[in-house]
Amino acid sequence: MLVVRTTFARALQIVIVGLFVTVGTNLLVRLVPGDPARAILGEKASPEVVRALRHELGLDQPVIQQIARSLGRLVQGDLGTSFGYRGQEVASLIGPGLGVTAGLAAVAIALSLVVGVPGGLWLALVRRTEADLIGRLGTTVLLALPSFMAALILLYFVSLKLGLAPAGGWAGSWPENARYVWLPALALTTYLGPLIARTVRQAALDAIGQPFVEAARARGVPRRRIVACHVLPNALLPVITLVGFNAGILVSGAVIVETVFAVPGLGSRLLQAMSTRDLPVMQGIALVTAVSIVLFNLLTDLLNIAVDPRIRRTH
Amino acid sequence: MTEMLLRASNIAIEIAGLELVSNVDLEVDRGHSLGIVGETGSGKSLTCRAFAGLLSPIGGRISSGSLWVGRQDATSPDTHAKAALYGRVVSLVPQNSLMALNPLMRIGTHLTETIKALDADSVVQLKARAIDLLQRVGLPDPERILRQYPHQLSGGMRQRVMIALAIAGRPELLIADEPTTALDVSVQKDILELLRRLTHEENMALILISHDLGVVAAATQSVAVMYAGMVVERGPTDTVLRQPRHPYTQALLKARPTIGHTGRLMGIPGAPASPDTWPSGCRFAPRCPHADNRCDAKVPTLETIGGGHVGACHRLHESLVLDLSKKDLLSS
Amino acid sequence: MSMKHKAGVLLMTVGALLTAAAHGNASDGTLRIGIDQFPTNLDPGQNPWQQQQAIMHLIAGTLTNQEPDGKQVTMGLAASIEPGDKRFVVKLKPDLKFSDGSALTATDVVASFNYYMNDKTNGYSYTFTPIERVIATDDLTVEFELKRPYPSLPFILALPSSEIIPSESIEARGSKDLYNGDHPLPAAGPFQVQSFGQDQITLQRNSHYAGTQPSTKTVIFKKIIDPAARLAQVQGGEIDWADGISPKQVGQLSAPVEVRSALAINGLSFLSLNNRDSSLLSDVRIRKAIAVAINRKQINEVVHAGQSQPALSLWATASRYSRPFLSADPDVTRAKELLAGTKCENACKLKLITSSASEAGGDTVIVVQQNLKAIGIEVDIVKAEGATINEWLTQGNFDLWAGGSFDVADFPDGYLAWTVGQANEALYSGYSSSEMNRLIEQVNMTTGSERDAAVAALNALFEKDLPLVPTTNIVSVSASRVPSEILNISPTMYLEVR
Repeated sequence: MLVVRTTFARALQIVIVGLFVTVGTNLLVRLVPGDPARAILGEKASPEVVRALRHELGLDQPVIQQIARSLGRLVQGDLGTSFGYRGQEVASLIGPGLGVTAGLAAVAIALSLVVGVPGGLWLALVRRTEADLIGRLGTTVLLALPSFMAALILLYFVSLKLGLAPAGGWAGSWPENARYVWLPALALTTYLGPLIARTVRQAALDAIGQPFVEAARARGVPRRRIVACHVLPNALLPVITLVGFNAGILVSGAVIVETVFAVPGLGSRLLQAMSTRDLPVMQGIALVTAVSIVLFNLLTDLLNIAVDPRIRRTH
Repeated sequence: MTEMLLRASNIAIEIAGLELVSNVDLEVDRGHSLGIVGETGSGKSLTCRAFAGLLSPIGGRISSGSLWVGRQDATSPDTHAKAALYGRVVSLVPQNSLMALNPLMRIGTHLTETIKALDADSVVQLKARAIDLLQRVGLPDPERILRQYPHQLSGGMRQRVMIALAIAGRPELLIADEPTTALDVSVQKDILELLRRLTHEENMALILISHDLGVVAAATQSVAVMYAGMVVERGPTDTVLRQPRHPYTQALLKARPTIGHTGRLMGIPGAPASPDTWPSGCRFAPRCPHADNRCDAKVPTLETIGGGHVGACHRLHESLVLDLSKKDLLSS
Repeated sequence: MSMKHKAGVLLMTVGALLTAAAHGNASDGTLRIGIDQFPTNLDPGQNPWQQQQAIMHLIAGTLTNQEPDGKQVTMGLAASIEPGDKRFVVKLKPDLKFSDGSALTATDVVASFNYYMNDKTNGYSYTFTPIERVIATDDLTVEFELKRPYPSLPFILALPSSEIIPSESIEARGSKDLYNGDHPLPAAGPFQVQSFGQDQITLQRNSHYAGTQPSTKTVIFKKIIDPAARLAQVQGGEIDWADGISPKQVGQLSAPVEVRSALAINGLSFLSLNNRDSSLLSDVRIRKAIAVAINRKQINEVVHAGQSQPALSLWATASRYSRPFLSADPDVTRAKELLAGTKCENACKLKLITSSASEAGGDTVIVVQQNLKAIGIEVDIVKAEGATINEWLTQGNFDLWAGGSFDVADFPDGYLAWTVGQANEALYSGYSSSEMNRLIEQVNMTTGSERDAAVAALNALFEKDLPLVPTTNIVSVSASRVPSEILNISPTMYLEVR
């Protein structure tokens, strides 16, 4: 069955990604200068103390051995223990952050869909008018705007000038987080929303030009129904794939936006881990992010299968 | 007693200022069947778009002449009147059945939305009416087909679905645009038979557009041959096909392969004229083996040959007759 | 129609959620502090950064307490300290308790110091090296036996790294688990840890604290990495104190948010010069030329928006050891005279490194580049992230480093070691002088007029060798919406919570 095959293929991908990310981050972190022990102890600690900590963290062992060890742990589902948060499981350290980032990304995707789908559809319906032109120009400008700029602009105007949202922070539980999440989510929406709008506009235009739309019109199907039942579903198909493809960009955007709004997601975990060279945590975050993206892709695969009958096999 | 269902008088069709169809005169009576034949670009599909009220989506309009469908002036901008017209009085079976069905929508939904839009009486028994329509077009196991998606059906079945959709509004005139293109020969015959049967049973008129004279021959009572945006010959199907008078019709007939014939297809030399380079005289003249000075100078008008048979050729009355009676077109 | 209805309900729900949640403020005895770096565990020996120490300082119960001025210590858990040449006798206050109500006795003090002195991975091990052993003579008396005279010991005892922790816990929990933030140790400081997260640390007033109870009940530290985000949050009322904002943003603050700043009592921003043979700067004449060519006033204006002060000696301006010999203004003529006959006489090129995370460092290097251009020295600015910079410093892979060093109080031991002493040899400038090391030892081991004489000699040697070029004092600028009597930053660079 197709669903089983797709799931299996993605599962295989997760294994391969896991292997590469583990080996890759291990090597990369060793290529960049900076000693985790020194980062923990500070510049004033004596070399002997640094050496002792390196030994305790296992950093004095050969790289190959360290990689083999972390792979061995990974097979058992163990991400290892943090260097900085001594004795603490990496999984327990990044778990909450992952939840926060996932929540932020989910709200951003939802907002982007709420804005992008009707927006794109509307642009398609008013095609080749001034409104369409202005709308397309708007999406171009927004797409060119870097996430952190969007975040700062929103922070300044919406939060500080208008006082419509807290100037960052996080409540820590839902639904209280709703107060905090919408502005950073909006900052991410400034990228994904226009992207969806453009995709929907183009796909809707394609659909409008399809014979089945004309045929429906010729059969006397009302315009509203044609838009809602013929144009829209077909315009939504590429959006699923688009959102799937942009999962990675969304995560990296989230890291930046989280910093500006002090949202305690994976972004702040990553920055902290990088500044202290907390290798296991960095590795864990890289792995979790990569796996999340693959899982997200799996989700879009399954969604595509569910939505598009042509992909399903005719038994 | 015959009743006029559609009358196009001297209509011209323009897209973006370019006249693509000129001086078309056509009439269809209730219960009558008309075939329109021509190459790609001859204006036959555009003409039938005009009949089905589908010019505006492609930016076209009737720039001159009059078009009456039923008792309505189809050139008037009255949208309410038009809504009552299309799908109900005149209905179109589109060209490509795969493209003309929404791939994400079940066949049943296509039918029910159409019934809702066109047939207020049947709304209370949507499913029954949908099944009835599928049965009318000869589809077996209609219950199952209602649940299926377009790509799960064969080309012939999809074309039947298209016909079922077209007759959902109980139209008086069915326009079928190349209904058998891309179908197997045996399926072609079934579809043509279905159209013939339906028009007969429901007392519908039929306009059948095709590039294939054989298709038209099998299903229509009269035929109009179009070339470069104009009707060049028109008359009872039998007469026109057995005794074509216009050199273009003759060439078309010669170009057509007969079943079982393995010889090379004899093409018409030269390429069809394009709208922006139409000659000032007869538009077929550059490709016509019989063209002379008159043909380059003046556009020929339709002249009566007799028995409802008309043709537009300066040498219509000369002995250029090609007797094709031996070629058994009507049975192919 | 039903879709419209649903959308309306959705919007209303979102609106309700947005307005529903209210947030706390300072008036209920809670302080919310936005800070960019958190401790990763509660081990004061492994949280050396200023922000980490500021948090540790509020938790740690120490024998002495650092006064906010940084100049002296007062008694903390100790009732008295009797200093001696090689022995300090500490008397504890009676009836001391940890935050869990258990008794704090001499046993705990001894166990704590024994643990620190044996912990090979303690970043503050250098503060314990002069200590031979710590013994309890009775429940309230602890004796520090010293290897050599250590007059700075009372300052050392006030550091968070000298906090007293329960001896039972040290025995019961291995070193791996001792400072696990998930279950914090009972504290003897003014605050105890209520929750320890990666993004929020909540401290609760310790009712068993031996000193004056602060009026603040709860201190919430929020990790906000981006300085602009911290500023926005204090301005937006999400937090009460934004730690370490850019001095240039002071003008953006509007009431009730005010600026709070402090100059470090001990320590400077300086250009660390690579004294190793591999660098052009092993030539003292070039080092001196740079020291003369630098415009300290300009650096103060450009980098610190005038919030700091030019540094004119090895020491912070407010330090008791400061003996100014440099000028705040540049002297290009003198600098060029100094360059005569050196490899930089006509032109030379120097590599100036700075941390990409430090805005101050980034601004400083630009002014330095300008200043040195005036004397024909071309400066190549290379920015890298903190851990990388550290690596380069250790390897000597630089000519100039825009950095600095400070200590929490006005005692010379650590600061001298890192700037001109032995600890510095390996790390920063690579400057190595047995004469300097001898003077440092003298300064560290003496008091009174003896120490004054030693400092004077050391200052003279510094002026002669000039292994580093002081630029400005270290300033910490924060933004606050609470009165300075409740929360302030002091010259110790600790946060003072009342």
